[in-house]
Amino acid sequence: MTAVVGYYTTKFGELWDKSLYDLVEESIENALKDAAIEKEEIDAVFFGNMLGGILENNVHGGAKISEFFDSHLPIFRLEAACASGGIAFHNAHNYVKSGAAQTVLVVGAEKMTDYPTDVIVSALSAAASGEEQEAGLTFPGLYALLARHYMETYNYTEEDLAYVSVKNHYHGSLNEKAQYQKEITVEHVMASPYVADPLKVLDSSPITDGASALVLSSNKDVIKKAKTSAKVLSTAVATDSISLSKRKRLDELAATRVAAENAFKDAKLKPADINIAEVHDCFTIAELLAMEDLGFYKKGTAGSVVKNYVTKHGNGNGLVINTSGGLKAAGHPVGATGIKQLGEVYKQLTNAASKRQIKKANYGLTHNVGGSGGTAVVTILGATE
Amino acid sequence: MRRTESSSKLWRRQKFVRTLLGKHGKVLTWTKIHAPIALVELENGERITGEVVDYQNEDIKTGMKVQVVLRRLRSNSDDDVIPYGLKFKPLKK
Repeated sequence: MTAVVGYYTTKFGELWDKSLYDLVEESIENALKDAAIEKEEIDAVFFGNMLGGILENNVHGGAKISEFFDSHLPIFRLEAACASGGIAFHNAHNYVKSGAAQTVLVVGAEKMTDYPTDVIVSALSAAASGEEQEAGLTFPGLYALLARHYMETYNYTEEDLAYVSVKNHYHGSLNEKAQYQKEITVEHVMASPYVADPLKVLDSSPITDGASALVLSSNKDVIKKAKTSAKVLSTAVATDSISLSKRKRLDELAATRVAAENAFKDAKLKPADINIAEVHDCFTIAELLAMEDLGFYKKGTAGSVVKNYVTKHGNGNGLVINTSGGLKAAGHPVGATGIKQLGEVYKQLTNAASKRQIKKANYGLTHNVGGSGGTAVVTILGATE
Repeated sequence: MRRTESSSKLWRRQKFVRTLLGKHGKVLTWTKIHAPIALVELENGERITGEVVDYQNEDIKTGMKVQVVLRRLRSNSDDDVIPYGLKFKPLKK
């Protein structure tokens, strides 16, 4: 058995007094503390980060992290755009499963507020195809193309998308680490300016600094010694063409669908077994697509499901989505997001999610996407007791 | 962020660009980021994205017919090559 045995995330937000590696260090130090282990017990480190090379001319993050450990352990930096955290975890899990190590640390981090918005938007476009960049498409632009197609195919309006944001901001109000801890209304979303028509400011996840780290172990003593643990039941990665123009369908992210099918198969579970999910809501449309592509709802129906707040905390005993506030309200430091999602599910499964704890949490799922669906990572965790 | 234009990259791209000039297609989906940008399916089934030019606001809708045209994409490269590329122009009914 491989289990998550400890987790910590920094506050997400505009953290002007902290550098990328200040955040990395804070998250590593506290994740080790949470797992009740010493840094000497870590066999390897997996680091998810996207923008260090583009923004700071700094790609050799592994060696930088080595300074903290003050040892010569293997450290790997992994990148898959906004799925960098998820893919770091996936590879860490495989590393442990292969027997190469017993206890590893996975850290995801991003420092985004040192530069103006246009620089960040342009840096993030490095995850899109050359042709899309040449056409002037930003990430909001790519998701706007998907949003309009979804709305026109299944008869939804911009207002229907807004409910995702309202729900996630409510969840953010329950999370002391979230960038935005303020509730908003559908009217607020509708009154916010367009970023890429039909997507508006309040349909979009923000620019965020933050780092999240977790400890993963197959060592029985480490798992026993930990205060709490959650089993890793499966983790699957799938890819798709980087350009939207090369996709067969525009009403789904096929990478999500395939990763989910494989993750459910490996875990021997079905979507109805999941109590809690953290999905990649970089834009409101992305949560609707995820709800369908992960198998929770039928294609074309998620738009009406969110209107009734069925997936909101406190509304019945069904699946709850994005209790952390999602990318929308918790914030989206791209390399950290995939780890924060796993951490949130770990907290829910170990009854440690305080105000936002859901009633019954046996199985949880995380869904981390890179680009506009070029990479998807789906991981399923289970409660140990 | 520094944009590293490359003349050889632009030259290579032109070989592709010229194969599509003048072709007709229809808009599958679109957005507006200052200017409208569309994902277009050409008559041969090929799909490409690009900015829509020479438009009236009421022109832009899914299903509209467009023609591929050659237009300047952005400011000059460091060695003063003008980057030209594909854009779409509405086809008048």
